[in-house]
Amino acid sequence: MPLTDEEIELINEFSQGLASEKLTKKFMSKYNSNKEFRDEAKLRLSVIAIMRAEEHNNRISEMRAIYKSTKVRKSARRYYWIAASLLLVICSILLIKSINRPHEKLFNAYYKPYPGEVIERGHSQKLISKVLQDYIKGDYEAVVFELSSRSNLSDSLYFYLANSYLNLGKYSKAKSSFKQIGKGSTYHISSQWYIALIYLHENQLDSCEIVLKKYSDTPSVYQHKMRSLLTDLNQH
Amino acid sequence: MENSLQLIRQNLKEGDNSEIARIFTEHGDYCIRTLIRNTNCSKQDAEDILMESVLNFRDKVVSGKVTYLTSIRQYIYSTCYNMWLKEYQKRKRREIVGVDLIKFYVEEYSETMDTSEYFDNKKAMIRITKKAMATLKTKCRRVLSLFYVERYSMKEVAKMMNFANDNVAKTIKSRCFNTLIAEVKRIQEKEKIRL
Repeated sequence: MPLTDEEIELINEFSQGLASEKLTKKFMSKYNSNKEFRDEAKLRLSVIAIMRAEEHNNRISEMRAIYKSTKVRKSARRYYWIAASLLLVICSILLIKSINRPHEKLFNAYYKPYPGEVIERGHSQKLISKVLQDYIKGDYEAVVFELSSRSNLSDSLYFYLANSYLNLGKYSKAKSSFKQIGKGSTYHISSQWYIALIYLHENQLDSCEIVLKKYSDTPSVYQHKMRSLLTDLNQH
Repeated sequence: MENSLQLIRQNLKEGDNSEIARIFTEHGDYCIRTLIRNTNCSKQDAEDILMESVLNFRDKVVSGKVTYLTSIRQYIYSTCYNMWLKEYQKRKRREIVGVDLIKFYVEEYSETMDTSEYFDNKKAMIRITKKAMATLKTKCRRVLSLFYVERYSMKEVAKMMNFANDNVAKTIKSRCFNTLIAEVKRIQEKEKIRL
């Protein structure tokens, strides 16, 4: 026999936990005595329980997903911290290194690129004027391109080639070009000054000192600078 | 704290889960660590309990049952600890086996149902109910979920679903639930499964 609306309502109220003490007693009495009522109640309670269980599981999964995403963010943040710390360590090392390299500081303090100024007459006049133009423009690559493949250059061309190398940061090539300039040349003292600076840059302080001592007594535009650099070197 | 709880409640009600993420970030590790230290449970168990605890916190805040807290961390940890204690005591009484869904299903009604008979057909019942639920219209599923799962009153359901009043909501809910039960019975009949 199918259940009445009243009985179904009783089951519903019980399943929602809304039944009063009186209704609960009524429910239990029917539950124990009426098999059809018991089966219907079991079914309805089971369906509600399963619905709740399903929803609960979905919400737990949602919680778990949020929790996992925070874990990922946390580990990503940890990696950022490690990267930042590494960067800080590297910067500190570089800073310490730069502090511990006084010769570079001195080099930067004393080194001034040679300004382009020359008047020379003769067979190479055309070439020197082109080189000078490039040098003044700051096109040191063009100067090197023009002169590096040539041999038997004049002292002035060697001087500009060496200065171009120096400006390009090619110190050893610059040094060997400066060394091509003979003692009798007007560029000799200038080239010796730059050789001393290259030694300084390469941290060959003894060689630098020898050059400076040799030429610091010779009157020239570099005499004062040479003496000053010598003093600075001795202080270091 | 009261103000911040109100803000959390408002955000949670609007479906903003960033508060939950913040709770996990700020208190998750502490709760798991402390629970493991104090109860000697496994990390997996501690994480499971934390999920339940945060879900409980969310429900309580959203429903307005919790309106004031001195410390969210202490509240969540205390809930974790009590949950562990409850679980531990239950485990001592009987071994619970099976998937989470079944565990919950059995626990929820174990005291009102005839467990041994119930246990035999539980998997089939879960499958059948899910199948029957899938045949319902979205509106019906939503009404049933709001009323039976989220336990809103008929008045609140009516407001949330834009029904004229709570009587309309009640009628729709009853109709939907009866349809669901009828569908469950039909599938049971078809598959010859009895509860």
